[in-house]
Amino acid sequence: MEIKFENVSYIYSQGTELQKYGLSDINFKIKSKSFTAVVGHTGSGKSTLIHQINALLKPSKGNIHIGNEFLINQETTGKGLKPLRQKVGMVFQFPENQLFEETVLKDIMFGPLNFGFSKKEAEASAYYWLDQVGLDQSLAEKSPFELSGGQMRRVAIAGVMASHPEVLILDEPTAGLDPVGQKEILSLFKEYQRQGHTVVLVSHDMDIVANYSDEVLVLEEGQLLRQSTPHDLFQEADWLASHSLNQPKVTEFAQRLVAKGIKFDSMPITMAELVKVLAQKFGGKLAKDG
Amino acid sequence: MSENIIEVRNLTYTYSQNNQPTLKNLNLDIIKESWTSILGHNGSGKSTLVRLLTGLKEPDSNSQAQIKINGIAASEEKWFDIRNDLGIVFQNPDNQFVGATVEDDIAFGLENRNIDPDEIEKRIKEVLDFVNMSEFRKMEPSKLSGGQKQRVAIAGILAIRPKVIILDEATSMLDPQGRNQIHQVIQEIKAKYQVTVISVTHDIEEATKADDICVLSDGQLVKQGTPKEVLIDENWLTEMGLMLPFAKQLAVELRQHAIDVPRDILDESELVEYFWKLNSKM
Repeated sequence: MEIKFENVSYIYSQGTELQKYGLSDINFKIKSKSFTAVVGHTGSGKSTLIHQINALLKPSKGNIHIGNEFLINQETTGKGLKPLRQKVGMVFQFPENQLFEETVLKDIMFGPLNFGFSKKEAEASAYYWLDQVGLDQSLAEKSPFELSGGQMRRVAIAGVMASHPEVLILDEPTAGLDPVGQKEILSLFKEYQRQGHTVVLVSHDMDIVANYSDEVLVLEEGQLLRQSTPHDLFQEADWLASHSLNQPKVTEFAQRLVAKGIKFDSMPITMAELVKVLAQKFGGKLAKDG
Repeated sequence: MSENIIEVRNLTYTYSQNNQPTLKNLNLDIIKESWTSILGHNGSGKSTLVRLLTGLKEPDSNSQAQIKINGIAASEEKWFDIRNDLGIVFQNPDNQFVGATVEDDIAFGLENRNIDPDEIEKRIKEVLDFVNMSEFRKMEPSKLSGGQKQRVAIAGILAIRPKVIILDEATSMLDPQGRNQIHQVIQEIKAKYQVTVISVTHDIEEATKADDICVLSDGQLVKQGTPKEVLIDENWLTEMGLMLPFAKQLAVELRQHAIDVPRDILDESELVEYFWKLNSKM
């Protein structure tokens, strides 16, 4: 589903002395079935922005279109939000804090049941996603509170995926997971995109942005500074530095090589790109699938 | 021979809802005034070990477990004394502040220990200068960034002059700058204070900067040594469910393209040097 923001502003505590712009006059379009990363510092408006996409917060001004079906603006009321929220699933930061059911299975089934799946469908979906997030079926009847932190995170993610949202919004979904677990979970989201869903990911980890996203939105103090591909964005070391943003590790490493006189036509942003350039320059023979 | 600040023998711990112990006869020595990194994948027993090392949990009652910290053998009566020598920085920077301002927060631990107000003032100034947070002294902790919060948390601990500081995944929620700031602070702590730093982490880059690394797997210590010793074998690291440091990841890939990067290269500066030399020969 395409997501379109038209002149969207969000004002916190409007009409009081504490009034503050959370977002000011934001315009952008996210293509259907794309993987878009939202980056920016704490307080830049990232969370405010994604919370508008399933109308947890309604824009103070402007319109948000989700596909052809939904329009969110100041007039949007609570009515009719359920179909929107079925289509737009959201994984919050530290979603494990929201587990509440007696068993893992019941917790994952809660969303689908709430959105009108039959009990049988909800259960099938729950088991499917339990497996997809890398948890053993034997955990289904356990209390979610007996699990480790990493397992709880996976249960919470399965609970959102089990309703099959068309748009998946992720707020730092892998913060605090170990690196191997992080990779597994991100690959799962990437695969979900490949199956034809739209993914929006908030992250401050530029390696994740470089490796998984097709497009990046950069926010600062409630303003959209730019929208571009990660490749274009990460070429601009000076611009990024002037906004206190990092480059991916690979790109930083390549910069250090540039400083030592090794030339790159364009700066690599993923390990594969870096390896390719170095192999061409210094490699004895290229591996077959290079 | 270097002296050990912590000695753990036969440590076994089983969570009440599990059949299998999470820690199994674990033996571990931590060298005094070292920076020791404890690595292990999720579920390896790292967090459980921290809880036992801080007396938040007790070893299985039928085990022969012994924990000795700074020469004191742990027992129910002794934990109060032992904890005086320990400071912990937790994972989530938001879960550890009690004061309304940065300075109040640091004063809290000192006031609890009945330290003289002039001395409190002196120490607040010293530790905030040390972690480079003096200009935020009157700020509300909640207004700080993650890296700043963790630096204040470290300052609060340094103020009480512990012998051991445990960082329990303290950098896992920080961005790369925040992480580097903390690594920098750890290096400086070692230079200035006579203190042992234990960082429990799954950040392999952090471990490459430590003096000593302990790898836990399945509730046991499976390897201990310097970063060069412990991190050399990439296949073993993968088996342990650990990531490779960036320089090693790259080296593994490059070897497949017949670029013979030496296996003992662990950090990026060494790898940059290597390419610089390679380039100048061309």
